[in-house]
Amino acid sequence: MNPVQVVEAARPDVGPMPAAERRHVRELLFDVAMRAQTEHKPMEVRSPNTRRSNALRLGALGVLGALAVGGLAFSASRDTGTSLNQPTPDTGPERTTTVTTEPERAIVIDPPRPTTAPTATKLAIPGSAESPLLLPPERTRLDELTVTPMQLGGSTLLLRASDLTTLGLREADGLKPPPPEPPTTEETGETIPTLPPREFNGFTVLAPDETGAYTANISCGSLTFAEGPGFVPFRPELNRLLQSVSITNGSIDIALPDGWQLISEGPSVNEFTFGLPVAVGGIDIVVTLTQYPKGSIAQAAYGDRQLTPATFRGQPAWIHRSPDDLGAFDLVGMLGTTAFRVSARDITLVELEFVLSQLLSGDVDEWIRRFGALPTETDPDIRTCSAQPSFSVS
Amino acid sequence: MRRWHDVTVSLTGPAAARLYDQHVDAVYSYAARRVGSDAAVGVVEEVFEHALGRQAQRPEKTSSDLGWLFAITTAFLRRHSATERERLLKWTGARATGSGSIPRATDPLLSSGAEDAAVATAAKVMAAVAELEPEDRDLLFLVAWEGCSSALASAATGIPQGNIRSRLSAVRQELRRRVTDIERAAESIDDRAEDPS
Repeated sequence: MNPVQVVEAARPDVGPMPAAERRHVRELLFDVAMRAQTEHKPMEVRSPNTRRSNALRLGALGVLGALAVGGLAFSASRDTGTSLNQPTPDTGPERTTTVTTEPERAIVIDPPRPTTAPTATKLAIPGSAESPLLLPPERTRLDELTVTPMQLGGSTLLLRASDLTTLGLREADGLKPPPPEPPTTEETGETIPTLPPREFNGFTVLAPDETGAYTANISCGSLTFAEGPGFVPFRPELNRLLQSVSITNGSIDIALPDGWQLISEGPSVNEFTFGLPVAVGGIDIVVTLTQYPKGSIAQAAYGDRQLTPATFRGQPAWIHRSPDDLGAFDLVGMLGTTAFRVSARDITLVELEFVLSQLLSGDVDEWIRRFGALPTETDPDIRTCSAQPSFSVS
Repeated sequence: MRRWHDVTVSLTGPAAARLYDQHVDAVYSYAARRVGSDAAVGVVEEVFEHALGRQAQRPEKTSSDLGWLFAITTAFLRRHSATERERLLKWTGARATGSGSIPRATDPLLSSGAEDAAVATAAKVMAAVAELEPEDRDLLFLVAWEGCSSALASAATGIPQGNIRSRLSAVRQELRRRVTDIERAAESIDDRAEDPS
């Protein structure tokens, strides 16, 4: 036998990688992205169980005092202002509620699993051009992970009426509005009359849906007005705004009525969302952070929500509190050039600041490295008409 | 703004998962044979973390995922060269490498004496392998232990495919020379032991 044959004959027998090790490394490598993407189904979203949470909270009241002491010591040992930069916000609200106190409850982000791999930490400033995203700590379990591509040629406005209500406007290219829905029926079978569409300057507006969104029929693309539920359809303040809108060759010209103001505007951009499990004072909640690199407060705020001014990290922000669920809120603001929306419940803004201060800054490449490729565009480009909509506000 | 279609990454999401699932055992086996099963788990983690990271996109010229992964594995195994050298110099012929390994039955056609002789020969060859240049040792193990073809060995080592055979031939000659040296050294020791004067 020549030496190479001797080496061949001495080949050690090695079985496959032990299943436990294989699974462990797989989880370390792919985190939630593996489960979310290789199985081609979305992450299961574990919403906080309100009843259970409340029951736990009642039971935990006795120990909250002790936890508060620990929380104070814990928070005092952390500099919550080092990870977030000073943002340059859109037009901010003129009346704010300022929060300046420190969190008093112990806050624990879902602890990472043990690993021998080095943990990447970027020192770059979040919300900057180089690091537009906040990312969860490495190998943290997430309850939600989605990326929503931008709307084709879309843009969004956030307006504020003279009665201090807010209104979101969104237009997008080439996507025809849905046809009017037939009259709806209640479970009893009784027919509810649907409000007829109303004609305005060059466009028709359908009656609002259950979320308080009005769809306008325009010749090309789509235009929606969203003010949230609970308002009288076509209320006078909204009517004033609609009457100030004229559409000519796709240009949506808005001459703001007296008392109305433009809060924010911006083009549609990709949105990045993750849900971060957090234990606040021993109670498990989920903080859902949606980020819009180079986006606007208008896009982050758009939806069935009314917003009121707030201050977050000393900067102007907007907050929505649901009248049906007082513990829940949506907070919208800017971190540098990145717009964000945080949806959470049963957590104070100070505690929320602390949670965000624990996140890492990164960019889209870092997101992709950790969570996989961004979704491919599914909507075909159907911009067959030349007069695509665009906003012009005066 | 960076749009999703402006971002180029070669191995993410399902593609990355497939890469891991298809090749993790091959990478693990290669590493375990060289540095043992305990160290191999860490090597596997390092290899895939590097391979799936943005800084190490799969080169277009690499025709084989496995060859590319073997190349990364070989690079990371260099960090364990001391462990590997120790294993080679203390070669005992034990073919199982720890938990997860498949025990091999003793060859019934070999007498215990013949088997001992084979182990002794292997020990001398392995000691010679320990003294090879790292690149030569990589090539030897990839071909002799992992059964790599010339193309795969080329992808894993960077040696042009046309040079693989000649390089192996040179390795074989080098091993013969070194084994001879080891045998002479052993004989010299034996002679001194028999004739202490």
